[in-house]
Amino acid sequence: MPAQGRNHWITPLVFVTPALVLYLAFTIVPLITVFFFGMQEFEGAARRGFVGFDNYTRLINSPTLAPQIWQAFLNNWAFFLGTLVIQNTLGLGLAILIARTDGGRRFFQTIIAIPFLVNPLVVGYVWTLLLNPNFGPVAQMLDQMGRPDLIRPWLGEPALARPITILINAWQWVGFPMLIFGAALGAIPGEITEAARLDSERRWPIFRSITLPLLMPAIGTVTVLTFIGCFNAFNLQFAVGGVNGGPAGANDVLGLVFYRLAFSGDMNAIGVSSALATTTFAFVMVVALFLRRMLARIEEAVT
Amino acid sequence: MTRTKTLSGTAIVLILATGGAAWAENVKINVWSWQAPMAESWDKIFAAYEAANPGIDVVFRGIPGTDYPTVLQTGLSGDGGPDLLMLHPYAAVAPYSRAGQLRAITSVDVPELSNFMPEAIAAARIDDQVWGVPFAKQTVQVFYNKKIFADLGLTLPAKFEDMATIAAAVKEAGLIPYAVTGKDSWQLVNVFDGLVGPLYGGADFLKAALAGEKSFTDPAFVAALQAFDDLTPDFPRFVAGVSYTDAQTMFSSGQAAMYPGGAWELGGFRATDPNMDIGVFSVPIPGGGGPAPTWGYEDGAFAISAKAAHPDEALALLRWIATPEFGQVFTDTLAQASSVNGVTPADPVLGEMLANYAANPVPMVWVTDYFGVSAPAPYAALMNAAQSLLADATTPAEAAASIQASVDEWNALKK
Repeated sequence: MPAQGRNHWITPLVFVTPALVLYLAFTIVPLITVFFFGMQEFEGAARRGFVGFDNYTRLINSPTLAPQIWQAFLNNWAFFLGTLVIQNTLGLGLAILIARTDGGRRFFQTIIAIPFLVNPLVVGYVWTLLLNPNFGPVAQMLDQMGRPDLIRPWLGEPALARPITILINAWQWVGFPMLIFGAALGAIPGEITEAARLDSERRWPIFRSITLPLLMPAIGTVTVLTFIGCFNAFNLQFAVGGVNGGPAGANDVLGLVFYRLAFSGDMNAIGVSSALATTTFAFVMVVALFLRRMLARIEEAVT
Repeated sequence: MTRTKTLSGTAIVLILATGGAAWAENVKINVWSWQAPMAESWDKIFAAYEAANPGIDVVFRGIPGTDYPTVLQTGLSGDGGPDLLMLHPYAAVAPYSRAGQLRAITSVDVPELSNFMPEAIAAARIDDQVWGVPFAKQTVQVFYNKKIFADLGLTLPAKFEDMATIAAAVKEAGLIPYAVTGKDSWQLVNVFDGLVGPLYGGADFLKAALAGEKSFTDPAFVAALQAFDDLTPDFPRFVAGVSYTDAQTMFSSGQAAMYPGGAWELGGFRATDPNMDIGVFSVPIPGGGGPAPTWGYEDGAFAISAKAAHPDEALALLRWIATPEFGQVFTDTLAQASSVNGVTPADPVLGEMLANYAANPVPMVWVTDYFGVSAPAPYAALMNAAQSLLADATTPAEAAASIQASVDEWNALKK
């Protein structure tokens, strides 16, 4: 019997080991290394010693860095909230429309999901060209429609660039919530909605009290993933506004601040940027966990 | 006796070395650079050296610019790195030199260092030691379309005030006075110094500012920021949305009369329209008089890795890079300005730019002393300030304060 007991442990371990080694080597070790680097002072690539939380204090105390990090942090929030509302509402709407259509369901799903196969950098550059106020097709179209007064430097004015970037992001990713919501809608048994129809003919109450609660797990997943995606944003903002998150910092996000720090002429670039990376990671993880808890509680409340 | 021994010893080594080259495999010298798109031209340049030095293979490796620092850092700290490498100039040298990754260069190793202006050597000098040989010079001036100027009967400005008259005449003719990007903020630094730099002064102001005797919040500098802001109507419409390439197109297609930019742009203009008659000038100081201040800087330097596999051959190649012979091949092949003294570029406009720069050189401190894409680099602070001014998101006084704040922080960090 004891031999069998040991086997009971060894077999799964053998199967798990390759994946575990890869996971440790490529996920856990780099994470710990970054954390460790964040507490070191560097001179170029040379490590000059342990400095505790000095790099973190510099992030908070630097008169030029701290406002940028704060501004980027707020921009990340705006980017997340805007994306959450626009992209996921649209995604849900599209999922419902597609669920109602009889033919061409696959076709519409594919068409809408295609942009998310494209690299966000490419998406950003393509939209920069489309929205070019002097040479872009959108401006030319408005010109030919006799409304040149509507032409603006869309991605050049800070007040416009931020919401437009959110729209571009939503345009690219809307297929993702649509597919998840579509799957969740498909999983709602027809009898339930049928039964509800007997009670009421109106659509909104049915949606409100039947469909929406049953969609809550999907909404939770989408929200958490949107949060993580938006706080790790980099490519789109880089394509639209360059390394400084232009215009005038309106699209600056934590990813860009990190990039600028890590590849700056700063002697201690590795130390300070690692500190910022660690802070961002910790923040995203804590909030993601909190969001999951909160959404689970809401789920319980509505069901 | 000992002396003869040493001499004969050296002779034997020399004979072995030269004789050995005949049958030994070629020595490969690996050169790393961020100029990946120009790899073919670089191969051509080094072919001239290989022809004169049998037994040497120069292997040029171009790495895309944004990856370069990372790849270089890895290459220099591990094995399989380069023998010779291109370095971004000024402060960007320090992380490598202080990490012990470069070989210091003295005028004993490289007597050819005397072929350079001290301003050029400064690009590779950190901690009172020289770490590389500069290879390219950049200067920022105003390109103009000679045909448009002739058609409108315009002459070159004799004093700063003439710029407004020229711009007004161009605008009246329905053309754009200055082709300028508002979107790609890095170029705005060049536009700023190229167009309104003379308002805050030349080398004297900058030296005083670097020494902490003057501040970028001084009225002269704030006035320059204000003047830059006031130029917005002379820039293309929707300037905030105009990209760098848009601005180049506006100039090379004849929609704009002037283009403030760097010597590196000339090649592109020539490629787009070889027949375009391009002129160049530096904006004069208010009231005129004397050669106009002209902003410029070194673009980079070649250095030797401390771990070079063939240190002697690498040094020999570096010495060649410091000769006028290299400078001439470089400028002829890449159509860029060489850092070596006494090299004449083939393009007369480029030659004119170099002459303007030599007449009254002003260091572009943003790039020279505060190079870096990041905060707290004042370089980035000026980029953001200029862009925010165009977008009406800040005032000249606020912009000046933010630049000074980042200069203060940079200085504090350096100590």
